[in-house]
Parts: sequence; C-alpha cells; structure tokens
Amino acid sequence: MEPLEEKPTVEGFYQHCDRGELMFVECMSCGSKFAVPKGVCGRCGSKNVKWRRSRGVGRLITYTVIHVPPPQFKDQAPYVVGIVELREGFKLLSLIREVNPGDIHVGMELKVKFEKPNRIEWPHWGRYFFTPLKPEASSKTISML
Amino acid sequence: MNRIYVGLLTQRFYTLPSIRLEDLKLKPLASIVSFGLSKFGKREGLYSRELFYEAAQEAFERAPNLDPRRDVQALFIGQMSEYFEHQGHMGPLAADWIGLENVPAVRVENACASSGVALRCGLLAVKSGLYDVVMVGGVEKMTHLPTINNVEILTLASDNPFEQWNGVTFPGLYALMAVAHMERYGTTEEQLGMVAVKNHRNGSMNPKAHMQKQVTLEEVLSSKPISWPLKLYDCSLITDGASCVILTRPDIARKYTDTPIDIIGSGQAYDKVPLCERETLHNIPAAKRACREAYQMAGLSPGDVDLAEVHDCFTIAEIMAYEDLGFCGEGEGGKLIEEGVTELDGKIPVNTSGGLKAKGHPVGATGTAQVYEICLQLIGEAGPRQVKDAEVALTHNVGGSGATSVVHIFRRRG
Repeated sequence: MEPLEEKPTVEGFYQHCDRGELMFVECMSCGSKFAVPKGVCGRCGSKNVKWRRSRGVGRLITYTVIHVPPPQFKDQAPYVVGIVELREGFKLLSLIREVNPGDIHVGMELKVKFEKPNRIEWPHWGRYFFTPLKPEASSKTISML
Repeated sequence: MNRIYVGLLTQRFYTLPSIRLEDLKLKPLASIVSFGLSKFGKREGLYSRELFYEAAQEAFERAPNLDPRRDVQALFIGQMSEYFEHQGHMGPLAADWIGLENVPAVRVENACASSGVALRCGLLAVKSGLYDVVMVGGVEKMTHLPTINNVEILTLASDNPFEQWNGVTFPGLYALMAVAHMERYGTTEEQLGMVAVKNHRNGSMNPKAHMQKQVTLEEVLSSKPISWPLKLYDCSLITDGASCVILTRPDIARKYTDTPIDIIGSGQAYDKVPLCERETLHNIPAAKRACREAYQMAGLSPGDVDLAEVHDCFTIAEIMAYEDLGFCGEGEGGKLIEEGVTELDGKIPVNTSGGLKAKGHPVGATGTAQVYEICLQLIGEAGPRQVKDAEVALTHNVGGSGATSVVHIFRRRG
C-alpha cells in the first residue's frame, strides 16, 4: 500500500485504529520500520518518514502473564501482554486476547483486532490487540463465497 | 578467569563527546568526601523531606570540617515521581529541609536512574569549574500507598499511549525481557532465583536494608506470580528511603576527609522508551553504551572492577547487567550466577548491599544508594560484607525498562 502523506502522530495512530487500520512508520532514507509514530527515524534521524498501513499479521516474539495489574486493568487480571513482530518488519507491544494462556507460545501467529473508544475524558483512545490467526480458508471454501 | 566481553568493543556506537580522553584518564572527574543513607524500609510517619534529612545528617556527621550552609554550593536530588506524595518542586524543598543556603537546587528525573543521573549532573557541575562542593542524592516515599497505586505510578516510566495503555506494569516489561533472554539463551527460572538468594544473603548483613531475612531457592521459585515468569521474590521491594553523596573538586577533597574516593569514569546513554522499539529485547543497549563511555574515561576494562552495585530491579535485570557490563559474554549471565562468580567471596562481587532486591528500591534514591555501598566498601567499613582489597568499583543504574542508563567508576585514593 502506498505510503501516506499524513504526518505520523500518536493521535492520528489511534484515529486510524478507530477505522480498523494499524499504521506503522517507514523511513524513506534508511528503510527501517517502526511502530510508534514519530516525525524522525529512530535509526538514522531522517525526517523523511512516512506512514504505511500494516496487514496486521505477525508472530509473537515474547510475552508475559500479568497477575498484579494497575487500577485500570484490575478486572482483567490475569491477562497477557506480548510483543508481536509484524510481517512488515516492525515490533509492537500489545494485549493478547481471546486465547487461553496455556495455548500461548513464542512464535505463534497473530492478527490485529480493534476496540472502539469508550471514554470521553482523556485518554480517549480506542485500542488495538492481537488474537490467534485463524487457519487460512481452503481454496474450496473461497470458491463457495 | 578473566571474561572480557569482546563484543562490547566492536558494537556500533554514537561518537563520544569530544573530550580529550588523555586528559581524563587516571585523573578524577570529582571526588567523594562524604555520603549518607537513611534506613530503607517501611518508614511510617516520615516523608521524603524527612528521609532526605536523615541521609544528609549522616553525610554531614561523616565530614565535620564541612559546613553545609557555608560550603555546599548546589543540590541535585533524584525523585522518580511527584505523584507518590503529590509533591513536586523537590529541589528547593529538600535543600530547605537540610539547611542549605539559597543555592541552586534541582530535582532530576530519569525514572529509576534519577539519582544516578543526579550524581552525573553534580559531577558535571564540579568538572565545569563553576562549583567546588556539590551535594547529590535521591529519595522516594512509597509505602504509604496501596500496592496497586504504586504499580500505577511506576508505569509512568513507560510510554503512555503504547505501553501503559496496553496494561503493562514494570514487572511485565522486565518479564518480556526475561522471556526473550530465556528463549534466546536457555536461561532458567532457577538461575533468576539464584540472584534473589544471593542478594538476600548479602542484605541480611546490611543493617540498613529493607529486608534482612534470607530466602531459599525453593521459596523464590514457589512465590506468587507477579508477571510470569517473574514471581514475588524476583521483584525488588517497594521501599521508603533516601541517599546522598557530597562531591568536591579533587584537589580540595582532603580538606573534608582523609579517605576521598575518586570518580574516574562516567557514562550515560538513552534508548527508546517503548520496549518494542529497542534493537534487542534480551539486553539493555543503553547500559552497554553507558559503561563503554565510563570504562574508556577511566582507562579500564571489566576485568579491572573489584565489585559492582548493579540495577537488579528484577532478577533478570542483574543477569542482563553481567552481560551488558562485560563481566561475561552474551547469554552467559545465568552461568555466571550459577558458578558463584558474583557472590561475596567470588571474583566480582555484585550487590554486596543486597541490591534493590533486598536493600529495597525507593526509586529515586537507588542510584546514589549504590554509591553509598561502594563508598563503604572502598573505605573498608562494610563490616561482615566487606570485600577484601576493594580498590575499583562500578555502579550501574537503569531507568525504566532501559531508556536511561548511567554508569560510574570509582577508585579509592591511595
């Protein structure tokens, strides 16, 4: 997908999430890719950075199960947080949901989902999270659609 | 057994600031003439200002030739968060509470590296030539709040929109690093646990430590999970405490003490705050950069260090520190603790104070508390935990999950 002209910002990242789009930053100078929106490349310092849309699929490279939560996550404990390496080559920290902690392993394939914002006061962001990638549909199934 | 990590020398780093290293080598940046530490623990009824007063009193008592009001020309005090006591502006508050004249008073914040960085600021102030005598230190008051509130305030050191918003905690971030280390190198939960056992053993000999009871490996491994694989005994303590150090120009140190300790190396580096943005998850690149600068300035290598106080906020952090500081090769941290190399009677004793693990981690106070232990060791006052013939020592202080790291190297003056 073509890089966007829009400058990467935190607020913009979450506005894209509300539209079901996971964005990442690519440096047009050195080619490095990273998740957290910034106006400069974290590797080479170039200001020639652009936003791209990720396909939202990746694999789990590390995770933990949090038993002692901060107040906002009190009702969800224990919950899983991991770092996902997306297929485009950048890493993102995320909640890992809709899976039994016992089924989680490093290397498992995941895909992104989004949660709509449910607060008025700041921070008013929605949320992305990752869940197991479903098995790919067989060609027979596709022809039936 | 001299394990110098060759990789430390071959990694790609930024250009060091243009200082003439020949001028600095073997010439101190500043000298320590006194130091103080409050009792660490659950200090009911005492707030930051009073804890810092306690630490400062010891420092003033150790240096009777020093008149605080006449001689101390600036204060740099580390404090991780204003939220614990809903109290900002700690520089002037602390200066007033310990009776300084109306000198420049600065509160330094670099998460858990706040007082390590405060030390560096004080050192830069002295080295600049503008100040002859400077006090540095740190403080944190935490135990008056419920744990869940402490957990939340501590997350301030992580990225809000990309980490806090996803429910991370500090044990969580270090657990992510632990799993990366375990996956890559086969480090085990037992090896993590051995760090806790060692540090509690050392802490039991430290009357100022928060926790003085020892723990067995079984107790560590069966303790309740905080953030898998890190368990209760893998995590440092929520503690109240304060620490301080008084620095002077090297040539006037003997006015105030017969046992000056020279700071011969200093390094500091930053790295991306969000863990997912780091080059590697199984070590702390900022610590590698910081210690490289410190070793170069001192003209020393890891094998020259007699003892070290490292930032064991979690057991995995100490194992990564062994590797980042060059005490062993990449991935060999687990082996190093297993072989007893970092025990009190080992080749390179680490965390003789009990570390953050047993001494406690009043966050802002930790950096200069590490220096306090080094000073006791270098002047031969560490009692039952004394390292024999200690001459060169290192402190390693880390902020957050590795976004700040500051390393200092000290040498007992002849």
